[in-house]
Amino acid sequence: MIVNKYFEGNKLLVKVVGRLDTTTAPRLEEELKDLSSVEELVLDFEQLEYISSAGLRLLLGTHKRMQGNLKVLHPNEMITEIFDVTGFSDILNIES
Amino acid sequence: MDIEASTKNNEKVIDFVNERLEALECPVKLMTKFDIAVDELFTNIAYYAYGGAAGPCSVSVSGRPGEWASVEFRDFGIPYDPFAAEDPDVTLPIEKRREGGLGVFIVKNLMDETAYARIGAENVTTITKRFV
Repeated sequence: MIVNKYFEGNKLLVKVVGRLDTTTAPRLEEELKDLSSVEELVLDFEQLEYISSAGLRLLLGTHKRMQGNLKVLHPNEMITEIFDVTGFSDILNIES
Repeated sequence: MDIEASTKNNEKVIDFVNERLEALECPVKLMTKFDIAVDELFTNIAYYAYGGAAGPCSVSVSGRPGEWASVEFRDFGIPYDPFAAEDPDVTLPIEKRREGGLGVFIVKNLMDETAYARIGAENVTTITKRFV
């Protein structure tokens, strides 16, 4: 997994490339550890291959920490299916 | 393959399963579904089978080329049927969501068949998907 971070004022754009699973979720968690100065967090999943429950746990925790100021961009078909099955489509702010 | 049930080995297990699925002419889209399911089930075994201690797990892939594939996990841990737990309520709002409990639910949704059996001292967990 590759994580690229782009700061624009109080907005943080994070592009996640590869897989978000048990092996890689702790690495993304580490990258998102300090969000104290971030008012809007955007996760760009355009190049994310898939997500497992370890990634969903991280998303849920991050969503709560950001008090809803989290947006997920461009999830692929597989990730959209996971979001739909788990009800995350109703929870997260997703832009396809 | 025989491997220690530890989350540091998830990638190795996923790579092994992918290799075998390729040989069975599994479509790429379905390989991704297997990858997610393998990540969930192997993680469960790593966390729970041996109460957090190290222990062995054997992973095998069977099937018919172009038709279907099964992945089987065997461990010698405490008897544990991952598919027996009640499904989580996926309609709950964000405040009431627990972080977790979704892995096995995802596996059930992605696979055509899931099975568990306690055979002697072994937990045998199997997932199956048809290609068409």
